[in-house]
Amino acid sequence: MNFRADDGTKKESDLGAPAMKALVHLLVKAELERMGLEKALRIAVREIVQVIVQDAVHSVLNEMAGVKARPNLTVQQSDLMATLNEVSPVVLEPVDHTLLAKVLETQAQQAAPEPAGLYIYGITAEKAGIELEINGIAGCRVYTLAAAGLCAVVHDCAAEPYRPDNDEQSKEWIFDHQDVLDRAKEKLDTILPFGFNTIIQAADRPPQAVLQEWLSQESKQLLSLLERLKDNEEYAVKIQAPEEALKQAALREDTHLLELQRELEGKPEGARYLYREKLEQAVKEALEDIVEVNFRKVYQALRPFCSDIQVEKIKKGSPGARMIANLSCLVKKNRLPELGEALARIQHDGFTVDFTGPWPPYSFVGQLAMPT
Amino acid sequence: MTLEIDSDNLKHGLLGLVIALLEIVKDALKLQALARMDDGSLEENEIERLGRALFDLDQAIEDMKLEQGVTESVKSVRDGLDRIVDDVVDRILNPKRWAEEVD
Repeated sequence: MNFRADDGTKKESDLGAPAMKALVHLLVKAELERMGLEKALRIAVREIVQVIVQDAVHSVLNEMAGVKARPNLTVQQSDLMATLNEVSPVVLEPVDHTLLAKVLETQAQQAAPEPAGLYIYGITAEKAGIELEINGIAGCRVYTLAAAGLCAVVHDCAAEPYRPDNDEQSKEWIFDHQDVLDRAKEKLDTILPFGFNTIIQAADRPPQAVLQEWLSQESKQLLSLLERLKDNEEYAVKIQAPEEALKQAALREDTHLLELQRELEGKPEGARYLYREKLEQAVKEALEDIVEVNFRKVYQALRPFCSDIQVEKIKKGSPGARMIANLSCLVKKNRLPELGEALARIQHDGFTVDFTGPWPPYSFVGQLAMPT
Repeated sequence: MTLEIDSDNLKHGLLGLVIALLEIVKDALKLQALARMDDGSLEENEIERLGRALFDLDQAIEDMKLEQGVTESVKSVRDGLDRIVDDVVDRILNPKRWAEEVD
């Protein structure tokens, strides 16, 4: 390993001072241009803020103080556009491409893959390693590594994480990862899945040895985890409800809100605006309670059919809808029909049910002590 | 936070940012007004005047957003800010995050 490191340093010094100097020169120049542009931007923003925000705030403050003054925003818009047009466009001078290409090429050479890392897909309870005949990410050969009654599904890789160039590529790699897990599951039964880009590397010894040592150390914990996941699959359940229906329910349940709504009717326009805001805020608060109640209902309806449930963070729902529950359910294969029926009942009650799976049980692996 | 700049979207982004700021100021004033309504320190005619001023401001901002076609950029600025604030609040209030910070 030391020998290789020396080799790398030599290459770098061979590159010679002129190229490095040119690179530094380029970087400094780009940085200076950026700084100039940022200054122009800052000035523009300041001017615009002065032009509109001050006036608008003034007129409201005046109004609060009782002085009659209407906001005068439309007039100032032309000033605003003029200010924006003053910002100079960005110009980048052409750079010395041959030099840059040379530097990049040398860098690529240095990163050339030595099989110093080990990419892990997952772990199963299998005593001896078997031939998988699966191709992994970017066509790598996937094999198994056995130790202490456990078996890791891995491939050899460079000692640094995979960095996709674009979305298309990252999608492809993640699908590859998923595909390996799916196919390994067919041959090896229950599998403890690892996340994309889990790579073991060590400076002073082969990563295979590190992994095997870790498997032996943690074998008890890993085996009991695998036992718990046996015959189980993970499903993702997302439940949404239409916002309008929830609001109506909130209005029905809280007489105070109805009162506010009635009060609103007789007011003049300005006051009505403020009272409507007040009502909307009150409804929003009541909505939180309704969501909480519904979450509990859903959770209790599903809990009996799951070996375990992980409550995930509520995400933004689709427009006009509100997410009630976002759950990861660990379900025994033979309980699946019952879960399906429970979900159908929830859907029947007017909720939107989004049900996906089976997934590898990522959400139930918990915190494993990883080898360092 | 880094800025991605080309001269085409500069106008859009900047105007979006400014209007988003304006909206936040307006919301703050509105909250203030509602608080004063609740504690009863405002006469009915004061409420009317205040409401009218805020309503006009609201209207002016909406018109400007439509006219300049920046509704989307304003929304994205505000969503971004919301996320940042959420994150900060989460870090302050959630003991789990403290543990992560220590690690």
